[in-house]
Amino acid sequence: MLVDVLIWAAYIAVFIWLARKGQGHDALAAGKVGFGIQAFAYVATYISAVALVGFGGLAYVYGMQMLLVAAGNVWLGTWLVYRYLAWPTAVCRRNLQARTPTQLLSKGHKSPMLGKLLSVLFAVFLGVYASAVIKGAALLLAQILPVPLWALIWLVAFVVAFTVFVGGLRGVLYTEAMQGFVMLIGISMLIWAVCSRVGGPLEGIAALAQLAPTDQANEGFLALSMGEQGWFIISLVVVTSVAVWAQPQMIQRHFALSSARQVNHITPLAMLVLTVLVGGAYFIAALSRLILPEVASPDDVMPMLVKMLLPDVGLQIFVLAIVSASLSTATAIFHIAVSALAEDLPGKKATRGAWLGGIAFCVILSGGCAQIKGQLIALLCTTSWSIVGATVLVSYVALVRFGKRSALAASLSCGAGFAGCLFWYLMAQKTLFATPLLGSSAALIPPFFVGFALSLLGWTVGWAFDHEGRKASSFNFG
Amino acid sequence: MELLSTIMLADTAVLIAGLSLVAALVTALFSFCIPGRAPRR
Repeated sequence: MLVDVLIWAAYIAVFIWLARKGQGHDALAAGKVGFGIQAFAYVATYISAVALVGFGGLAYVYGMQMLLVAAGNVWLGTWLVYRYLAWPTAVCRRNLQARTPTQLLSKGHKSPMLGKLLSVLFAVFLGVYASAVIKGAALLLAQILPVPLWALIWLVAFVVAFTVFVGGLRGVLYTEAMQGFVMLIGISMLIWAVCSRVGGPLEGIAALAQLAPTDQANEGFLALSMGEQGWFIISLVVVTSVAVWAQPQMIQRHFALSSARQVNHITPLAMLVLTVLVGGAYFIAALSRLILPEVASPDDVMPMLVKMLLPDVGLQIFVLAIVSASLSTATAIFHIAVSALAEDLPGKKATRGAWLGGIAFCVILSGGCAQIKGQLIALLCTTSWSIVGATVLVSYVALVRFGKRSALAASLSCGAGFAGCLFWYLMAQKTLFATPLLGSSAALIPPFFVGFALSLLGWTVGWAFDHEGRKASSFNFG
Repeated sequence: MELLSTIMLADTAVLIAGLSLVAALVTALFSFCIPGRAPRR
């Protein structure tokens, strides 16, 4: 018991100390941040509790094919991002004097109106999405703390708000890095425990190969499934590894880069941590089929593994790891939502008062949404990642990678991406109607794919008609 | 030999995914031993 208290006390003490690192800095400026902090912060922002617990459960159901998702996250979601997008984003931000991802896009495409619309989109979708992440952390804490869930939701929301208020971007990066490190320790312990239990990774793979196929893993647990199930995995790879490029909280992580040389150090470290976190988590969750009884819900897999294999101290560290995964994602999202409200929407540099007002609004929005169950809230939470990605991806990549600047093309691209993705969620998926209106074949196409295709089309049309924009697109990367 | 026969139990897609994760680990570990070079701009 004493050890448990000491672990939590140490976590809270280090958390507060790191959050205060941002004191004296502008809330939207990172200052000089080392490559290790940036690498861990990128991974911690990327990986939420959903990826560790929810996708871990999917690995139990689908087997080793979930390693495709891990490989996609590592190579497409990290290596490719740092190789082709991160440094151009940092240079672009510097040249445009942009302080937030919204300003990067609006100044880059010379469209203040686009900036206003994007800030509303980010504030609403990310503010509400944060409620799901906060609730996830509160639900986990409720398992070990004798406190009502509603109180834990407000507690987590206030912790996130504290980090954003006291630390600003710099404090957020430092606390995320610490949380990423805790996640690494927690998952490493579980990897070791599961591999020991099944007699080693090779023995585990061989035993898994002997299991009979199921409806989901219809080719066995070491193969990509045929039909809809296999397509689901491929879709998951693309949505989690490509839509991440344009999430504003991920774009903002590149703002802290100080040199191209720093990228060379961040890339391998981020890939290493991510491989252990997601690759390791999905690998052991797939192997857990050998040692766990039938589970009622895939979400129970990781908690059951922890309770079965780790001593009490390990359980505490694992709970901290999952809480860290939620907190790090929530602080990053919160920071974007608050800056959208406090600075991007008014169109002027945020004062301390405006920053505090934005935080208060986001706490009430996220904490309030986490308390109630509503169809609209559920819709915003499930659609946020894909809709934000489909809206921003084309105009962001066109700007930072290809130096293309066009208010018309960017507006059409963002509008078409947003509308297409939302339309597909409402009409082709089971979001609103039990039977999708566009038929079962259309339901197989992820909304992000449709949104991205329409966004690309919107950009192409806008670019073709924007003669002035084409002439003026001579962006210098410096 | 045991390693080879075990990993060959996986189908091509899963094998590529698994090997690419191992490659990421090896690349990362090696890159800390060999000083990196800034990309030319």
